[in-house]
Amino acid sequence: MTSTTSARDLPYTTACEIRAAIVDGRTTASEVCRATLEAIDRVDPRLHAFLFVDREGALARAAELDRAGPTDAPLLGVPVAVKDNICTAGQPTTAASRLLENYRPPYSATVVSRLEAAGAIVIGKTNLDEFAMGSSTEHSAFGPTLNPWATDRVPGGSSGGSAAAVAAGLVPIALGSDTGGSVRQPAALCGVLGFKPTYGRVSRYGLIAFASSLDQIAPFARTTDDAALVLRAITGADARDATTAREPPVDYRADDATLEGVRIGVPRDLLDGIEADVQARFDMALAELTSAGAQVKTIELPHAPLAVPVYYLVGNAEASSNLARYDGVRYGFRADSSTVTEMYYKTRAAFGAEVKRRIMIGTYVLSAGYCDEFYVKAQDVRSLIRRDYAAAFESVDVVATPTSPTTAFRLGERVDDPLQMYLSDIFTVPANLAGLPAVSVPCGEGASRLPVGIQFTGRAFDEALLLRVAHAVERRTDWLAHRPAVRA
Amino acid sequence: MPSLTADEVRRIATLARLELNEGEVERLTIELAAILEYAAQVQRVDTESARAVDAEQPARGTADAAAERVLRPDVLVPSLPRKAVLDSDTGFFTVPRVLGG
Repeated sequence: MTSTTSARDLPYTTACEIRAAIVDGRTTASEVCRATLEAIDRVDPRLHAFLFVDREGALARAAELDRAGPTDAPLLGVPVAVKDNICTAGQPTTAASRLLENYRPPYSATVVSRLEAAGAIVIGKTNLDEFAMGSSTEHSAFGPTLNPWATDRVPGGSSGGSAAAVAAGLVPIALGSDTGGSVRQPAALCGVLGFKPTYGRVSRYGLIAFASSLDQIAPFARTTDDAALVLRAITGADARDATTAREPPVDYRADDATLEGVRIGVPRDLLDGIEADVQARFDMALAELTSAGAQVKTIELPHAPLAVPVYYLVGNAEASSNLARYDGVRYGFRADSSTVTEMYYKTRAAFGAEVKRRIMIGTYVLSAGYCDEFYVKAQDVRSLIRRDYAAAFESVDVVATPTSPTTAFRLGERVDDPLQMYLSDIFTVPANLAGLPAVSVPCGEGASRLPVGIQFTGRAFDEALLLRVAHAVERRTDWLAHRPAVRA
Repeated sequence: MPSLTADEVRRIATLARLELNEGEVERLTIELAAILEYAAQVQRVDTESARAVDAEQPARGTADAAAERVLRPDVLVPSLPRKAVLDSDTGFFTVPRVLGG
C-alpha cells in the first residue's frame, strides 16, 4: 500500500499488508474503512454479495481503533465480511430467509467476537442460499449473488456472497460456513482460497445451525498467509460450544516452503466424468507439487462415491430437527394467527422451496418405519467413509481432488434440478462426513476463463500441512495476478 | 423401496408442520421420490463392519480427537439479559392462547 491510501490502492491489498500499513502509520483504519465502503458502493450493485453493510458501525469502530493507536492486534483495522448466518449483535442476521428478515440477535457469534478482539472490522453481512442450503446462492430469499468472473454464472454456494466479495477485491477476508462444501466450492468457483478446519477447531456458538454434526465455520482469503492469520484468530476451545476441541493452535509458518517428504494421495477412480478443463488444471497443479518435492500416488477411497447420498440423508435429517425451532414462538417472523398450531403452519410457510424440500426429506428419513433403512444406514456408511480416510492416511499425508467437478455453471442451469445441484458437492462432502480439514486453492483457469480449484484434505487437526501445500500451489502459479471481470 | 404417494407427502408435511398447496404436494411427490431413490443406494452397502468400528468410537462422525469427553468447570457465568432475549414486558415468550379461550 502506498503512502497516500485511496480507494484505488486498497483493492487486492492483503490483510497482512493492511495491518502493516496501519501499524507503520502509512494509512489509518478509518481510511481503509472508507475505501472499502466506497468499493462496495461502486461494485456490489453488479454482484449482490452483501445483504447488509454496516456503514456507521464500521466507521465508528475504525475511528475507535485509530484513537487507540497501533497495537499488536493481528488483524488491526482489517475489514472482514461475514456470512449472514453468523450472528452479529444488534445487526441483521437473516440466513437469507424471509423467516429471519427482521431478526437482530442479542449476541455475537464467538468467531465475530474473536475477529473483533483481533482488531478486525466487520464491514457487512453476505448473501447465501437460505439457511446455507444450496450450492449456487440462487436459493437466497433476497436474490442471487453473481460470479465476479462472469456475471451470467453462479458464484457457487452456499457462501457465495463471501466468496464473491473476496474475489472482487472488496475485502481481503470473509467468513462462511461449510456443511458439505459451502466454503470450498464457492472458493473454487470464484478463484479464492477457502479453508474448512477440522470439526471442533472453530466454535459454532452463534452460527445458525443447519446440520450440527457437519457444520463448520470457515474463512475465505486470497492468500495462504491471510488464511493462516484468520485461522489463528478464530480457532480454539470455547466454553459456549461443547463440540470445540482442546487442541494446540495451528502451527504454520510461511517459510515451510519445501514439500520434501510430503505424500499426496489421489483417488483416481473418483475423477471420472469431471470437466476436461478441471482435469487439466488439476494435473498441472499435481505436477507443480511434484516439482516442489511432494510424492504423488494413487489411492482408493472405496466408499467415497456414497458420500453425496449419505450427506443428503444425514444432513437433511439434522436440518429438519434444527429448523423445527422456526415456529414463530421465539425467533424472527411470526404469522398472525388465533391458535398456536395455525401460527406454526403460517409462520413456516415463509420457508423457501429448497428449505421445504430438505425439511421434507429429513422428516421422512427420521419418521417411524424409515429411520433404520435410511438414517441409521447412512450413519453406518458414514463410518465406512471415515475409515477409508483413516486407511488412506496410513500411506499418504494429504488427499488431493478437484474441489468441484465443473467450473462455475450458469444461473438457472441447475436450480430446478435438485439432484444435479447436489452433485456439485461430490468432492467436498466427504471431509464434512469424516470431520477432516480441507482447503480449496485456486490452480488456474479453464478454457472459458473461469477459475478452477484444487482441494486438499488432511488428517484431523493437521491444518498446518494443508497450509503448506496450499502455499506451494500459490507460489508456483501466477494465480494471484489474475483479476475477475467485475472488481474493485 | 415403495414409491412415494401424495398422501404420504401430506403426512410428512404434517409431521414437519409445513402447509403445502396442491401444486407443492404434486411437485414434492416427484422430487422426493427421485431424491430418495438416489439416496437408497446406501441400503445396498454391507455395513456390518461399521457397527464394530462405532462401538469403539462413541461420537459418530466427528474427528476422533474431537470426540474426547471433557467436562467444563461448574461455575456461574452471566447469561444474556432476559429482556433482550424475550423482547417483551412480560418476561415470557407470548403466544396465542393454548388452553381454554
